[in-house]
Amino acid sequence: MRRTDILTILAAAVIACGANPAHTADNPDNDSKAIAALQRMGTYLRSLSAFRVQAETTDEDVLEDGQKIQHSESVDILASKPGHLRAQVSGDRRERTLYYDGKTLSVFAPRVGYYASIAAPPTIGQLAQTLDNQYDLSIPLEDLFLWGSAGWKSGGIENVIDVGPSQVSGTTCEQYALRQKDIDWQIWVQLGAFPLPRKIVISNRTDPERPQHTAVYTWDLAPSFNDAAFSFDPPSWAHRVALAKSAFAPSPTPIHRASAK
Amino acid sequence: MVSYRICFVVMLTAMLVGEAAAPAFARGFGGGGGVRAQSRSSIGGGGYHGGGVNGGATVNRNENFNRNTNVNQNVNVNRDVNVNTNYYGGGYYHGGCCYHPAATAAAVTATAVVTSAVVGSMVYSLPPSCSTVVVAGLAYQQCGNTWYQPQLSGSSTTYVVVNPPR
Repeated sequence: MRRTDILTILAAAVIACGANPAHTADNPDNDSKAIAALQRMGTYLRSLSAFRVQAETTDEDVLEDGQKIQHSESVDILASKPGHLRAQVSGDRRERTLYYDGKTLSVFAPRVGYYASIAAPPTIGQLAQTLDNQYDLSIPLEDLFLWGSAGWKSGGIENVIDVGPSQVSGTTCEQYALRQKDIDWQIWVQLGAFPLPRKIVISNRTDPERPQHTAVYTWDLAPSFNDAAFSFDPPSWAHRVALAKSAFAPSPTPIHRASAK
Repeated sequence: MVSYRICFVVMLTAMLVGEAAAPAFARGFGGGGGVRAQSRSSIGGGGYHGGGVNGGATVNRNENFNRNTNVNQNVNVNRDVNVNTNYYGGGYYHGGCCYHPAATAAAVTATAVVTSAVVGSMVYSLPPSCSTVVVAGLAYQQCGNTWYQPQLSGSSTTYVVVNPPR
């Protein structure tokens, strides 16, 4: 673990203790232990040279009247350090496959028969940043590629609870519950020598209904693949189009509906 | 009668373009209005699902955006057509995918309005009778005299009105 990371953890722990004296008064070491466990998970993730992770996810929309609608997706990601990634997302609403070979990122949307390609930076971490900052697209399960990296910031953890051992798909994990600005999140980290995240729940506290994201991960740390897995060969019926820019980037001039009675 | 027929054509188009169609839920699902908030799929990143923050910053992309339940579209200069968007594209799931971050969504109209094809405007779905034209390696949709450039994002496909590319 890098020295700066340790300092970051200590700083976060100090902030957490200061912000929640009632909690930490009982077990002053628990918060820092929990943060250290999460950091260990991040460090472990970054140490993996290649992995395949599959996830079943659920997300929620809150309608204007507060009613919630849940939808599910399946995610299948193959990653190889430093600069190879393939990620497929399939759900009722969309299907996307990302291909990244360290030079080019292609996004394929088979249902509409479109794909987009852009020149990409050499590492997955840099790709994540480029997409977040410039395009209306992110790497699926992006946290898995950010945790443990030098640039990752949790956004200021205010409180952490070590809930205790918990089973996820038959694997014993340690469950943690964290609070930070705008979100509460829980994470289940596998106990033992392979501290992998096995499940995550993120509650968005910016809305009273607290719409929730969940993901349950299945890991393969010795995937079989070759380089062809990361290059996109568009089918003849697919058309190349532009990749949408981020909403934060300058956007075209809006217009209003022509007629609305 | 005429309006029913146009509705049908519009709906058929929406179904044909699949996920490119406007999101039924975001456009008045259940009569309760649009989607006011979404879950966030990432702690520290942009959130592929559409809701997220950049690098742990505190920007919330999931702001409210309201959409009309019923959209009165001036499809023809002399004729108003009422499209009930609750059932547009065949219902909740088949309505497509498509959240857009609010900043963009505010600029996205429900569907193409023939009489207001202003260059730079964005729509979620195309009017009927468009043809795909490839110019300089990129696909465009030509719908009468109006040209649209499809744009792919993580969660939706939108169409931006552009000047004729050739």
